[in-house]
Amino acid sequence: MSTLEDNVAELRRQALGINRSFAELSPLLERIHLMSFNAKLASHRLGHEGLSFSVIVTEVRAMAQELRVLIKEAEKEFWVVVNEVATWSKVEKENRMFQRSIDAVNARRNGGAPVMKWKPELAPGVARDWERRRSALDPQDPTRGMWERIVENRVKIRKNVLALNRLAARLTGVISRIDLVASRKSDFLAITSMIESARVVDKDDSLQTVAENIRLLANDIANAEEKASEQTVAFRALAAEMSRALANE
Amino acid sequence: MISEELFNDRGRRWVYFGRDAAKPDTLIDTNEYLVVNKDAGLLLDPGGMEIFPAVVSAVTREIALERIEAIFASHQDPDIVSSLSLWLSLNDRLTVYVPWVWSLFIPHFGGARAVTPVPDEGMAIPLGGSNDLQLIPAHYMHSSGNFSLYDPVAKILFSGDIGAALLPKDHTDIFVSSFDRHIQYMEAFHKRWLPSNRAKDDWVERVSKLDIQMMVPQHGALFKGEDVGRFLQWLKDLKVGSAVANEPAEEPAAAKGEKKKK
Ligand SMILES: [Fe+2]
Ligand SMILES: [Fe+2]
Repeated sequence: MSTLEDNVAELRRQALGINRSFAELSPLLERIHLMSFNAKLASHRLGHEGLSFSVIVTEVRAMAQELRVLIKEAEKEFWVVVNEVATWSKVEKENRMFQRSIDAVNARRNGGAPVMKWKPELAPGVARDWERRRSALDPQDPTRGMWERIVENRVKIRKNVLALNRLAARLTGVISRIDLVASRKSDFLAITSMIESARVVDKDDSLQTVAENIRLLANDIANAEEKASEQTVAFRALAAEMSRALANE
Repeated sequence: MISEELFNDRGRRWVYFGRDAAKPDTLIDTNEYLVVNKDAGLLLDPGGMEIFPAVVSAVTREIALERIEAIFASHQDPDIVSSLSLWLSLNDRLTVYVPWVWSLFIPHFGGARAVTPVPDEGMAIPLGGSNDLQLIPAHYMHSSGNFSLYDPVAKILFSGDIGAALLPKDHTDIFVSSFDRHIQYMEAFHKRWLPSNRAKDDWVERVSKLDIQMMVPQHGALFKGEDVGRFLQWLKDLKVGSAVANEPAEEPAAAKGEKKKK
């Protein structure tokens, strides 16, 4: 059975992975921006013939801008997630230290072995079990304060996981909008620019290089986006699974 | 973790905790102390986060945790007080005395609430109706904001990092048994960690005026009886600030490299 700590570590790893994917997307958008200037120049040279290509280039630029705004939005959501995970790790660490302390107190009382070795598992009934142990304690028991903090902290963690679950859903929403723009639009623009450049290849073959560049960039964007999207799905699934497990405690 | 009562008379108690056998070797060994007056407790340098379980379990044998009213941190080091957030989590009403110099730094260990800054000249810490525990300035010994604590009832001086010794693992005596043999365990530490001969002489002069039966540091063995005076004399004669004083005539390699780059 996995512990809460393992799950937190996994969530943190996933969140960082999502952020890395965003980081990969940004320079691609920058490159699109630069490339669109050259493409504009080339299509202008063609005059009337280059008009449709010029429209495509304007669309490519607009897509890059749209993606940039969406990524900013996703990054904002992402930092809220990271913050929640950090708070949570702190509370979880505190609980671990209190548990080790209770083990140590019990070991002293017992002349060696702890009375109850702590197992911080995500199992149904764990929280009820703690609550039972806490209320069964003698009011003078030295571990009472620590048990109280542990039970309180677990409530905090549960709220935290619920918040994270909501955030994961929001992050998924933004990512699916990015997905829509990045994969569909970029594919469409890549194809139309290829067709358009082929049409005017007799007059100016430089547009073919431009179109090829658009195609490659569109490909890279779709790949980076797909990675972010996969990671977000995994992140959301884990957050949902954890909130289910914690609700069952 | 070993506990030992150092003093118990007229409602005043001192308890020592240290030599935590379960502590990983990656952490420096530390001593923690509990001072009790009537039934109110004060923890001196309660230690790092990692050893909190050992300390709190030892402390609960001596006093109910609700009876601990205050914590004193001699300075800002993590081995002194990085466990702060856990103590505060158990009892938010704790008064935490720290050198004013560090009063905005120490809360970074967690707890997110104000501490009580001790002014440079020191102050008395009230405890269970008494007001005789004195914080003695020990600035730059080694920390730039640092205090020792003197108890005129028990005649004990808690000296923080001053008098610290890094003892081998098999050294289990709580007190210094032979001062001359003990020097090897503390000499390097004092030469390197203490930065200022002037500050050192000032502290030695200040505490020499006190009537001290026992001097108890935050690391290593405790000094009792005549060993207290021996220590003060030894420290008085010691030249400290070794990293600067022994600076080689030649420039260190790193510095040379920097210049070349320019
Ligand atoms: Fe220190
Ligand atoms: Fe220290």
